[in-house]
Order: sequence, then C-alpha cells, then structure tokens
Amino acid sequence: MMSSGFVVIVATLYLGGLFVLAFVTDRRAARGAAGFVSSPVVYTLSLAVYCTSWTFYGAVGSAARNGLEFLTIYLGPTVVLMGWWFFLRKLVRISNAQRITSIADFISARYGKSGGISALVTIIALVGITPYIALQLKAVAASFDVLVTPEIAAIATAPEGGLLADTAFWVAIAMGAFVILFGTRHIGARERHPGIVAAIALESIVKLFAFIAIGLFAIYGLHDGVRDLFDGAIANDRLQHMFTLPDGFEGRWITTLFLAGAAMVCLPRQFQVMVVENADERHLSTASWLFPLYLMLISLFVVPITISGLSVLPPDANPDLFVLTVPLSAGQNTLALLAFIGGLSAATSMVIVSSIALSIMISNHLVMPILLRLPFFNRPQAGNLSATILTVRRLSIASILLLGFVYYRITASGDPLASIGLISFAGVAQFLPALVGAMFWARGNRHGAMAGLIAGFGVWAYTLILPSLAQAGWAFHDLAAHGPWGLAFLQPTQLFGVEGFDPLVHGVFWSITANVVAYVFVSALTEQSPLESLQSALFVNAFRPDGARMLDAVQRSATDRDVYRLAQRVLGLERAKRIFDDYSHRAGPGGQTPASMDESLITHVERELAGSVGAASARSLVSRIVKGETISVESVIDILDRTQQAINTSKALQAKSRELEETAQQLQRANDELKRQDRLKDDFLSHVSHELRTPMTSIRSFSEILLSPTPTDDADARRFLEIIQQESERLTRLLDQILDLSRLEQEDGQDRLETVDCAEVIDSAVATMRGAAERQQVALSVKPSDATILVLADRDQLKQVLVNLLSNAIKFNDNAEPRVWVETEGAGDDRVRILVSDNGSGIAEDEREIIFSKYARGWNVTSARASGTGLGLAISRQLVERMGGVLDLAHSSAAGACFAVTLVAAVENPMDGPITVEPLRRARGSD
Amino acid sequence: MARSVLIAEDEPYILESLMFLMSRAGYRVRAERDGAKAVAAAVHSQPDLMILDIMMPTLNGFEALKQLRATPGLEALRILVLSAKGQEADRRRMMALGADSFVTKPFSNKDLLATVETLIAEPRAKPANAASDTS
Amino acid sequence: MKLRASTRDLAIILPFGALAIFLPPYLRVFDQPVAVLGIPLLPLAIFVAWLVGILLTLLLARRLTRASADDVEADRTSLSAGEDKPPGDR
Repeated sequence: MMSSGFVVIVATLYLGGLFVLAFVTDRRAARGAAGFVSSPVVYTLSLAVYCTSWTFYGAVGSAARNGLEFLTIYLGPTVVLMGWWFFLRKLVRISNAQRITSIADFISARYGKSGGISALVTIIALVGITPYIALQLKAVAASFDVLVTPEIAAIATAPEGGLLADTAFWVAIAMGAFVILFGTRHIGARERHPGIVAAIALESIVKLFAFIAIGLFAIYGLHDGVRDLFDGAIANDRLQHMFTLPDGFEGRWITTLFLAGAAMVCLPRQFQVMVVENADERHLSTASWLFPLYLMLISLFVVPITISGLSVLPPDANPDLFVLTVPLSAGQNTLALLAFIGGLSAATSMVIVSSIALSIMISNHLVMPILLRLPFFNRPQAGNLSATILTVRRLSIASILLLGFVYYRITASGDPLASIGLISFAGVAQFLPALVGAMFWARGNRHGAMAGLIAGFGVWAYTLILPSLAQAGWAFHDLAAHGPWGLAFLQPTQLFGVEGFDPLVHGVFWSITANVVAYVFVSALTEQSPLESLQSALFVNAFRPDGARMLDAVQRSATDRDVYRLAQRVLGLERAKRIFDDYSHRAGPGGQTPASMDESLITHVERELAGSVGAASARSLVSRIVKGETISVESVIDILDRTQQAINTSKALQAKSRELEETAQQLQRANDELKRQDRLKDDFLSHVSHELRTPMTSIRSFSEILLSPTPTDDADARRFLEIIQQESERLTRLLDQILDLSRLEQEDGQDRLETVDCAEVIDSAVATMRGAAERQQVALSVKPSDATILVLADRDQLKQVLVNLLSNAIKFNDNAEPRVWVETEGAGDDRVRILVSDNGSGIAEDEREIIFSKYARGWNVTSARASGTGLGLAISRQLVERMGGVLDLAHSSAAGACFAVTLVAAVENPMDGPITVEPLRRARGSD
Repeated sequence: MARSVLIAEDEPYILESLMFLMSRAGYRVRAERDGAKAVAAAVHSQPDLMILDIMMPTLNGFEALKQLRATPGLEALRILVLSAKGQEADRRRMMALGADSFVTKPFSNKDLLATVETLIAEPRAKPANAASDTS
Repeated sequence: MKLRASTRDLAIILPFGALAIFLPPYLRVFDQPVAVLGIPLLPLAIFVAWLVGILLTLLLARRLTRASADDVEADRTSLSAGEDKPPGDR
C-alpha cells in the first residue's frame, strides 16, 4: 500500500529520465557521436521490446493457469533467432539495400510496389495491434491500482472513475508526447530513431532487472532456496499442472510456438527495431544468442514467482498481478515499486515502438497516397511537403493511442492478458506467407500476396475476432452461435465441422491455410509485372554475389541520390551541383551528399524543380522519392544495362588485349623465322658465291697466263687448257645444280615415272664413276642381286642421284684402302632400297641432317667436305622425293657410312605410261 | 737473292696457277694446303711473303692470321690474304687482324703480281699501336 | 562466402534441431514425475536444452562472424591492391 502521489512521482521521474536519455542520444546522434546506439548489445536490448507487460505480468498469469505453455512464447523467437543466418539476415540485408521503412513497405516493395498491398498490411496491423496497445494501458492502470489500493484491485475489474483519474489516460498522454517528440523530428531517408532506441534499451534492462529481483525474492525471500521452493511445489496439488503437460496440449503448444516465431518478424514493432533500425547486419550474430538468453532468463524466473503466488496468495487472486502482489504480500513495498517500474517499462516500450512503426505505415501507405491525389496539396502555396508528412505522422500517433485507449476503456477486463495477445499474434501472422514468399519464392506475385492477405485476414477476423466480440456481448452473438444464415458448418469456431479444437488453434489453422492456399494458387495462375520480376530477383537473390551487387547498385542510387539525379536531369548538372554543394557544406566536411535530406533541402529542390517542370510535377516527383519508394524500373534497368555494358566492354578489352598479345607473339616468331631464313639465305649465297668464284679463279688465272706475252711451253699450255676446261665444266655443273634446285623447289608436280630396272641403272652409274674411282684408287663394286628388281622411278634422275652418292663416297673416303659398294634389297611389301656404302670415317653426328640441306651452316666450319659443290645431296633428296621415295643416311660409324635410296617397288609387268605416286613420309632427324 | 713466297691454298688448281705465276716471276715458292701446316711452315722457313687463303681445312684463314700475328719473330712477315668472298666486312676484319693486303678471287694475275712486288719491296711497317695485338 | 562444412551444417541443424526438441513428441519424453536435484524433470530439461541451444548459437555466431570477417578482409585487400596508394604510404 503506497500513496498514489508517491508512485506518480516515481513514475514521472522514471519517464522523465527516459526523455532525457532520448534527448541526449538524439543530440549526440546529430553530431555523429552516438556510437553506443550502434552496439550489438543495445541492438539486442532493443529487440527485447518483445517482452511487453504481457510478459511482465501475463506470463506468470499464463503459467499459473495453463502451466508450461507460456514457454512457447519465448521458445518461438529463440528458434527463429537460431536460424538467423538464413532468414533474418536475408531480411535485414534486403531491407537495408532497399531502404525499407516498415513491414508494409517490405512486402509491397517486393510485390511491385503495390500501394494496395501496403495499405492492406497497414490496416491489418492497425486492427491487430490496437488491442495489444490497449492491453499495455490496462496493465499499467491495473498495476498502479494494485500498488495504491491493493485490496480492490487484486480482483480484476473494469476501469472505473473518470478519465482524469484513470492512470492509463495519463500514461497514454505521456507516451504520445514521448513518441511525437523523439519519433517525429524529421523525415530521414532511413527511419532511424536513435533516441528512442536508447530509451527502449534502457527499459529492457530495467524490466529484466526488476523481474529477476522479484524472482530472486520469491526463491530466497519467501522460501529457503531452490530446493525448498520445489519441494513445496511438488507437494502442492495446485501446482502439479506446472510440471507436466496436459493431454491435448499439442495443438495449442505448436500453434503458440508458431505464432510466437511469426510474431518475432511480423509484429510491426519487432520489424521496426530488428530490421528498420538495424545499422549493421553483423549485430544479428550477437543477438542470435544474447536475445534467447534474455528470454530464457525471464522465463526462468516466471516459475518461482508463479509457484510463490499460487502457494502464498489466496486462490482468487489474479495471477496476472502476482509479480506485484507477491512482494506486496510480504510487505516488500520497495520491491513492488520496482516491479511496477519494470512493468511500466515493459508497457511503455511496447507502446512507443508500436506507435512509431504504425504511424510510419499509416502516413506512408494510407494517408500520403490519398493526400497527394488531392489538388489542394499539389498547389505551390500548399507549403512544405515534408512538414506535411511530419504532421500526418504526429496525428497518426495520436490516433493510434486514442484508438488503443478507447479500446481499453470499452472492453471488459475479464479476459486474461494472454488471450488478447495471442489473437494479435494470429493477426500479424497473416503477413508471414507473403513475407516468406517474398524472400524465397520468385514466383510469388502481388495478386497472390493480396489474395493471401485478404483471405487470411478475413478468416482470422471471422474465427477469432468475431467470437470474442460476441463473448463480450457486443455483437454477432447469433452469428457466433449458429453460423451465418444458420449454416452450422460455417460457424466461426467450428468451420466445416472441425470441432473440439481450441478456438485459437482452430482460428490460426484456418486463417493460415486460407492465406497460403490463396497466395500460392493465385501467384501460380497469374503473371508478374516487369517491376515485380526485378524486385523478385533482387529479394530472392540477395545472398548471391551478383544479387548482392545488384542490391548494392540499388543501394547506391537510393533516395538521396535519386533526388540528386532528378535534380540533375531536370535542372542540369551545373545547377544541381551548386544546390547540393551549398547544402553539403552545411551537412559537414567531406562534401558528400548529405546522408539524410533535411526538409529545407527537399523544399528547395522541389521549388527549383517546380520552376522547370511545374509545381504539380515537381511535388509529385519529389514526394515519391521522399516517401521512400525504391527507384523506378527505368533507372534500375539503366543501371543493369550500364553494368552489363561495362562487363561486356571489359570482356571485349580483355579478349582484344589477349589477341594483341598473341599477334605480337606471332609477329615475333615470324620475325625470328625471317631472320633465320635471312641468315640461311646469306649463308647460301655466300657459299654459292665461294663455289662459283673458285673455279672462276683458276679459269681466269690460267687464261691470263696463256694470254700473257711470256711464252708458255707446250706441255704447260696443254695442262693449263685442260684445267680451264675442267673448271669450266665444274662451273657449269654448279650452275646447273643451282638451277635444278631452284626449279625443283618451285615446281611441285610429279615427274613422269616409269618402271626401272635397278641393276641396269646402278651399272650405268657405276660405269660413269669408274674413271674417278680408279683415279682415286677406290675399289668400286656392286653386289649382285638374285632377282630382277623393278622400281617406279625416273631413270635419268635416279642415275643422277646414284652418281652423286658414288661421287661423294669416292671423294670423301679417307681410308687407306678405300672401298665403295652398292647393293639392293627389298624393304617391306612394296619398297626397294638401294644402298651405297663406303668404308670411310663416317659422318659426324651433328652433320647428319645438315649434309642434306642446301644451307649447310656447317660450311662455315672447315671440314674436308667443305669443298665440292655440296648441293648434290640436297638435289638428290629432292629428286628422290619427287619419285615418291626417301633418301637418307642409313647408318654411319667410324667404319663407314651408308646412304639409302628407298623407292616404290613396281609390279612384275612393267606398265607403260606415266604413273604418279604418293610421297613416302620421311622421319625428321632420321637415323 | 730470290725472295721466298709461302702459298697457303687448298684448291689444287688455284694453287697450281699461283705457284706457276710466282715461280715464273722469280720467287722461291713453297706451298701448303693445310692451315696448320701453313703456320708451321711460316714459322719454320720465314718466307718474305705469305699468300693466305681464307677457306682452308684444319685451320681457316682467320685463325691462321691471328696465330701468325701472335707469333713472335714473324712481325716482319708480309701477309696477303686471298678470299673468294668479296665482302667488305671480311676485308676490314682481315686488315684489322693484321693482313697487309686483301685480294678477292678471281684475281687478275697482273694485279696480284704487282701487289706482291710492292709488298716485298718495302719492309713491313711496325703496326702503329703495338699494344693492340689482336682485335 | 566460404563456410566450413561443419559451420554450415551447424547453421542448418541448430534451428531445426531446437525446433524439433521443443515439439510435443520429444517433450513428452521428459514428462515424467521425476525430480532431479529436487527440480521436476520437465521444466529442468526444457531450460537445460534451452541453455545448451544458446551456447551452441553463440559458438555458431562466432564461427559465422569469423567467416564473414575473413571475406570482408579479403575484399578489402583485393580492393586496396587495385587502388592507387598515396606516395609514402608503402
């Protein structure tokens, strides 16, 4: 029992403290120094706005009446937070990127920016939350009365007395003032209210502290510790229901678990603190365990308080008020006062955040769209647009509180707190299908979402609201009892004859079913608009790297930049820049576009625009941006196009530069090859020149000698003339060979081949070389073969080749007893080999291919073979290949070398006429 | 006293014509067909002039010239280089290596004899920079 | 972002596991008239499971934050590698 004045003073001081905190925080935030508000702990504490006076008082009440069922209200959000990585994180990411301002904004943004959907969501929210607000006011009033006049208030009654005597009235006024002061300072691009967040966080601490204090008192004050508490409890019959699960609990358990989890996301106040006010996605990771911890702690201490209440207090005591009456009963007035403050914190934080969230939705999605259609507001004299918005917000807040208050005054206080709350939960849970589909189902479209919302809301109202109104004696009594037009199977509490279910379970089941079915079917059967497809992609793909990039693109061109670009487009680059430069100086150093447009800038831009495009259009354009709509389809497509172009260009550039590199390499290689060829050509020319000059020298010299005045004797003269003749022949041969080679290289026609007898050609070639062999004292022989061997060849050319080979063998044989021999052998089915061997000193390893080349660089190196024409082998090889054969060095060692001419064998009966053959492949580097 | 000429040339007919020319002109002639042997012969017999062909077996003209010029005692040896390659680069190189004259084949007998006479008539001038031995 | 397989598994299993354990069938298991340390089994079990879940979530959150911090670091280093550094800032 306390004096009301005392309680009022304490409460006023407490609320005043909140005001101060909010004020200071806002001031610091404006300076950019409110860092503490963006700490993950503060964020988590702000999430604890979930624990309203329903938790503070109603949880104990629920535990006392229904046992452990109250736990589901806290287990639900726990599970949702545990899965934060997949669900909440995506929600926050999308909302940050799209500058989402409320849950209505989120859902409508996904479904093609549909004004209808956002309006519907707002209305549902308003209908669903108003009772909840009333609940808070009721809790405050009741708790106040308990403190001040416990004996009357311990039994729940409807509020009596005049308006001014009603605590709730004053609380509502105070809350309205608080919210209007700290929630409607300015229109920002993001709906952030640091002062309010700070106040809420503090309230979360206070209510936890108070609750735990009462709990500890219950354990250690009223009992002798935990053991003692439970010993007494187990023995107490009235308390058995707390330690076991009743039959048929499953339905309600699952339903409330589901509703609590859904509420975590769908309640406008939760969406506000968790998503809209979120400054950093990473805070979620702290909240994921810290918030469930908070919930667990509160739930934990519900148990001892309930046990104490049930065991200590009289049976007709209102369990909803145990938190107060338990300490009061033990004379702990201070503790009770603390509890009252805790409850006040719980109630006021809910009212504050809910009213802000609802007012944002009402002003953005219900009022402003209507107002902007009115010609009054499109006239230039109508004044400042953003001022209008703020006014609308404030009026909304006042209206919301008024509605809540009225509801509270009118309804009976007989209903336990919990049931009202659950009906609210069921109402906002209708957002869940559309919300989940928004993030995970690309096919969901606005027709489906609309259908789902309407169906769900309708069934919810019919099965849950209507019966409760009937129960309160308000209306619909007949309808509730007998169904519309007497149709029993359409009874609100027993749709389609499904009986025996708890009304809540029944209502939730049918409403969610109708919602999901309508959403899925209608979405599947209808088409998406282009903007919807785009938004759908942005939402569903928010976690993919390209999705993130797209989101970034959207983010970067969000509201403030939209205004800038709008100004640029209409006013031109220069003027737009000037306007914004002016304001950026005011915003602070750095010269960036200000993070949040303040009203004067918006007004200024609007006025400037009006000068160019007319006031109505200017207003319309700017207002759309200020309302926080996402950018137009065109701009996004434009961004995507440019991004795509940039990607294409960079790919093209890369490809081009790769091509260029390749070409450069090819050029380099060609250049090297040309240089090589050049060197070879030089070598060749140089060698040829040498070979030509050598015989020329003797010819000239001896000619001069013979022509000189000094007489030469006859013997010498004769000798000299012989030499002249020989050298002339040599010269001629060389010239012929050069011409041959050149001709051979140019032509690639095949010669006319005929069947040739090997033995005959060999003998002929040997005969030609007989003389030279004798002169050099080389033994020249032919190994005879048994059968006649025929080949396809050009006879004269073959003879030329053999003569060349023999000549080389004879000339370069440095053995003491030089021998050269020729033999023929078969090689495979269709080939014949003619071998010319000698017993000279062989050919050096590194010269084996060179000797066949007309370019032999080995001619720079002095060797015995350097003299002579050296072209013979090159020409021979060409000739043999034209006959379809191969000429190579079969083997070579210190004991001698052996050259092989491989030719195509001819059939027995020689054919007349020309034959062409396929050239045999010669292995490079053969040996 | 008859002057001696050492001819280093491997082409037999050219060698024959050179020997005929030199001996008819009154020089004592010695011939080598091999580069190494030619160098040895030069050291051994100290001829008054050496006709050196570039393209020779074993040791080519370049190397032979280098060796000759590096050999002490042969500073007075006059060397006339014969080349079948008419390149200016070769001429410069040989002159830089210390050749006294450079004749390309085919040559005019008269010119060759005249050059030989001119060279033999004068003692060989010491190279201007004794320090640059080889280059 | 690259998640270790175990982290990813935990991130999926944890919420579903928690949900499952708090559903009727499993809860019934603990609905015995037994007292552990003087505390009835059912509420005790629920709270213990809750606490365990919280601890696992804490563990998971640490891992996930580390993974995404690595990502951000990688982005930053690759970005700054491409940017022009002011002279003297080596």
